[in-house]
Amino acid sequence: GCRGARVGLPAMETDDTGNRLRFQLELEFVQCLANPNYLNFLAQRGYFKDKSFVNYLKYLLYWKEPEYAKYLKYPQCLHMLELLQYEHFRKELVNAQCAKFIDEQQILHWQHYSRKRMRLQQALAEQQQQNNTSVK
Amino acid sequence: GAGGCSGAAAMAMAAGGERSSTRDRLLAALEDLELLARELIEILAISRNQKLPQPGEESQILELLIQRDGEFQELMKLALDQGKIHHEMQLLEKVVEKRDSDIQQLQKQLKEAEHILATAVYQAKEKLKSIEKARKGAVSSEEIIKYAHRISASNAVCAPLTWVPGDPRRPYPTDLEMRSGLLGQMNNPSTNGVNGHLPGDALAAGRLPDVLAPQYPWQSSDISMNMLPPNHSNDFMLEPPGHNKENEDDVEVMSTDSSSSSSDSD
Repeated sequence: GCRGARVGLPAMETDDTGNRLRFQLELEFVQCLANPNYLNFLAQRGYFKDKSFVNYLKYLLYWKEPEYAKYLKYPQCLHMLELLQYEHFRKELVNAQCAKFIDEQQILHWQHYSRKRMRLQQALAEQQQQNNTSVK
Repeated sequence: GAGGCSGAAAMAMAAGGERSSTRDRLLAALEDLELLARELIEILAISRNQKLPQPGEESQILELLIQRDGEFQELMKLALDQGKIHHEMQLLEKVVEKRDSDIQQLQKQLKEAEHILATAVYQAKEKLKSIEKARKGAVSSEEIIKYAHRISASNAVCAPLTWVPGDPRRPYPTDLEMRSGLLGQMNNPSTNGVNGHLPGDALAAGRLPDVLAPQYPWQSSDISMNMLPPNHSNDFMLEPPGHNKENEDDVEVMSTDSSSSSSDSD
């Protein structure tokens, strides 16, 4: 699995460079939460039992605000972040099967629109075929 | 005879001193008149037959009679006036009653109006609240379109049309992307592979996804300087206010850690 950074960030500076860095790090990290395999990794290594980590997850909720959310390429991470606020969810993620299930659902959902489009295209093609045969 | 006369005189004196009702006084005066008239008639009847024991008594009674009659006439006038006043009072009372009911009617209407206004004001306030809420959440359509384009064009929220099982692309940052980001660089500074790709990675899948670029767009650096994360101490040991949704009972007060933690885990 991937090695995520430990929660403790480098000594925080008060100048802009430090804040800029922190912004990017947190931007990356929060989006990593969209990866169910990574969540499984974190769960198995006991990160979710660490009180300060749980507090950090709560702190990350600021990414829900529109002025921050617009930087997210993977907005689904916010849904994961919300779920992670619940202890029950964090406990379940220790199971590899749970992570796998989430992964499958995510991918299926991801494909929803392309499948829909394919169906529409098929329907359109069939209809055109019918028109052609009737014209002849 | 004598007892009755002095009795009438006593009664006349008594009646003049009391503050009794006009009716009583009228009745008393009538009684007196009756008594005096009787007395007079008795005396006159007696004087026809025998000598009067007290001379001049009949003129005395007569005078009393006249006096009492005078009083009686006064009392009658008084009674008449009082009657008129009473009548006026009754009329005024009626007017007062009417006014009272008018006031009550107005009161009812005012109450109704107040109720209606209160409702209207309340609803207006609710409306204003929702307007304010909507205004606060306003986003320019241009920004929304830009964002929609951003998350769709990179296949972040919608799978690429050519996707088949086996394609390493995912709706979340993959191992590869994670390692190539800032976080990955921080933890593995010395083991960077070529182009940020580590050996034995998702590349084991066999192919290099063609969406890879040296600068992964999910680690945006196009931020403006005033767009910074909310301030926090590195000390997440402190329980923030309004904590875990389920464990309200498990709250412990942690002691503050004076040093900031910055250790790497692995």
